[in-house]
Amino acid sequence: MVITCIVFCSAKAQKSQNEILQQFESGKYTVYKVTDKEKFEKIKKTWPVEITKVRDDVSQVLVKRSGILDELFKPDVPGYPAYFAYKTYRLSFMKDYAVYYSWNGKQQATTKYILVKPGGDFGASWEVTNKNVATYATATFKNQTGARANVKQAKAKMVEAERKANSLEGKQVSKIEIQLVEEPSKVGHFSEAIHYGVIATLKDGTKRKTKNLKGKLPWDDFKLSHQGCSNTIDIVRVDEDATQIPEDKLVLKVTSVYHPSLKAIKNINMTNDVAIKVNQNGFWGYEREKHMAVSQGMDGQHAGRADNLTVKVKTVTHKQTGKKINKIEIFNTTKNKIIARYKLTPETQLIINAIGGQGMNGFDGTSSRPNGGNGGYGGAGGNVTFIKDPSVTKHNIIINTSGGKGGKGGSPKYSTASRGRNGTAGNNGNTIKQTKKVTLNF
Amino acid sequence: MKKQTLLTAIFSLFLIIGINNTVEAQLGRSLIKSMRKKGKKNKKKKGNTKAKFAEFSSENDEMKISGQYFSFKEKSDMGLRFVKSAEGKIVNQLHVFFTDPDNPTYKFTMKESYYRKHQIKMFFVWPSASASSYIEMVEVDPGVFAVISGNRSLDRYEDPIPLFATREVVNVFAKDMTQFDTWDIETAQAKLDMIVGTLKGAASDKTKKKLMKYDVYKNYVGKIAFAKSTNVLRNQKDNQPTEKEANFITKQILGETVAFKPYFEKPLEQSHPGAWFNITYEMAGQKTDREALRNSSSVFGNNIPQIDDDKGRFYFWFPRVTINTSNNVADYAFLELLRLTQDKLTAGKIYDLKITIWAYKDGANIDPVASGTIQLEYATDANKTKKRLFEPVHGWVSKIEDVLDE
Repeated sequence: MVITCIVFCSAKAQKSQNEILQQFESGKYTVYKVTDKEKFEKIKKTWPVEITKVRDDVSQVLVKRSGILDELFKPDVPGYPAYFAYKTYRLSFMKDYAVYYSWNGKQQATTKYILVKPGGDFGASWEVTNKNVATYATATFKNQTGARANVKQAKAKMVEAERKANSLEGKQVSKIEIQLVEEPSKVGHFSEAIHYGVIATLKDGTKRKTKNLKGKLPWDDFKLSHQGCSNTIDIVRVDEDATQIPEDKLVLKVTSVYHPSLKAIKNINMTNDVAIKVNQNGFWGYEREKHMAVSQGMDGQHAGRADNLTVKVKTVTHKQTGKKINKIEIFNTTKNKIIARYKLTPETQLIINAIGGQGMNGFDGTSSRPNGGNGGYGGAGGNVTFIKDPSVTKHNIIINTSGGKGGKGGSPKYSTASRGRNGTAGNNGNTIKQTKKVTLNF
Repeated sequence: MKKQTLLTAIFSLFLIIGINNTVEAQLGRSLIKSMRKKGKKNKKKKGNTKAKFAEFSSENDEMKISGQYFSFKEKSDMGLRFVKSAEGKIVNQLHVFFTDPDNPTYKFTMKESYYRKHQIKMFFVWPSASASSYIEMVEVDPGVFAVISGNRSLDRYEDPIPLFATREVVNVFAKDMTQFDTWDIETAQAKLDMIVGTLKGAASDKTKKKLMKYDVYKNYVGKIAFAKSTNVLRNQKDNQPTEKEANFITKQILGETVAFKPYFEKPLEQSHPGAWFNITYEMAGQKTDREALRNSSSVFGNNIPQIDDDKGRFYFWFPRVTINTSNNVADYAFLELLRLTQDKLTAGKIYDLKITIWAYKDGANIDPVASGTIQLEYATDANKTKKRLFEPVHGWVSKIEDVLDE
């Protein structure tokens, strides 16, 4: 009870550097440095210390190291400092002296110098000094809540003032428009990001721009409702699923939060000409443990077979440009789910891999089991049904259904032992091509 | 016959050791050790050597370096001579004479660009391949040199150790012994730290200029790039962000891997000295803070390490992840966010996840240094988000709940 009270009372009674420094003046301070043996040793020369105060608050402490090098220490939290900082060094004033120390993430202090005020006294050991200054600093941090809140508030006030100065809030705005940072050369699934910004024209003719257009107009001023791409500020990416782009164009749309009648829309036509590769391959032998329980001996694990797929293609007209594009749907019949829905120009390459996994190599023989292990079998390729609508006259879809290679047999430990057998390659999958009417709901 | 072979082998071994010792003695394991030895030797023949090296003071060179110098530690003397050219070539060397005024003990090479750009006179020598043998001399005041040892080895001995290496002043050489009243080892170290700070600042400006030539850095400075795996955000060489923007994402299925990499205006050690990184995650009206969680319980304390790396870089060298399904790694602060928001998440909806990287010091987030938002879609497919997050044994939310329940 008594201990708790002492701890609590001492924490409450913790003085900030501003209070402690009431007892300190600028002057020539006696300096003790730390020797290799972690003892203090008095330095011949005194160091000038200049303390600058604004009313009762200390705004900075200038230490003239060795009388020649200026080190300007600033308070960590103005109003209730626990220390003054210069680069990674800290200075905390205690009874008659200042501790010059470094600080680590474990809340530990390592004293480098002691600066004793004129007429002051110092006699503690290095370890005790480190402990004392760390205890003082951590206790003071806890009391800094109010001062930190003030600093935070002051910062927030500045940020808010800047936001308000650059925001459309309370300003008369004639129009807002969307501007692309750079015109994209290709717009398709997996194409590069599109960078954009917003320009607002005020009634007086001045223009405000978002940061990526080299302005300060805050993005918080706008509500986004993009279609066909991610609904994000600065950068958007085309949706990977063609169902999200029914009109074959991206629509970037922003609405002013403070002037809801002001809207800006930018349409970007899809070019559908970014090549795509889709993999529905079997797992490799070494990955078998991720798919099922395995017991591992000397033999390599067998690989997994590729999934079976149904690929449907239909040619339609691009709703914006009128050019021919292919709608493609890839359905995984093994897992009974749609894998992808794309729109691509007939010339754009789409590679669909349903390749069997590669068998794992057998282990090399050891002194206790000298024979090499057998290689695992390669997985079979997937069976793909490729259904082409009669409307399709051209496409660039490549389907790979080869079986996976077998794993290599392990080497024997001794010449008298035997090498493991190589695993058998997986069978190639079949590709069945059909031409019949296809219905795709996107 | 066998005896003779053995004797020959032993003799050869002695010979090798003998040769090595001779070489070592000639080069000196380090300048520091040799200086100490040298100091003792010089004390014995003080009168002669003083006269020998005093002649150096009459020499003039354009750098105003050459002259008789004294060692702070041993108070012995030596000769230093700046050599601009030799055999018709510009060499810009500093020759240090400890014993024989006609034969330099060491020939230091000048780091010319430091002098050309910042008027800093810095010389270095690699007496051997070992990092401990490295010696550097930097003029901290006219006629005063700090003698420095380093802690780094290099493949190229034409260069000094990098600026981020630790440099320790081990001795001071001065033309006038009264200069030691001001220039002791501590003071020289402080001045050296200032000089290195200037050089680091300049190097950082140069690096930033170089980085601005990379579209990725130029477009993402102050922001966070997201990707489906960490490998597309990695690069092989320092300050060469060659990652392709085409691989970045702005949308991902909730529960799938999200790797992210922040790009900073300045390295943290310059913008916020003494601070380290913190990360906050915000989604669906909830916010989690790594440092706040780290200090809240031993479970989080043990599983959320302090982010103390990369303080000298313009971006994280190793990208971080919210969740990485390929190696089952996740940030506990993000898992806590999922735990807190689980009742608000519904299938088919998209949620904005805002990630902010902070400069953190003394228990508080000081300033944000990078931020970014990614859209996370709660997939309708039961095998995706629902399974990843809520599967009773392996679901991420189930896992964090189990850990916290313990």
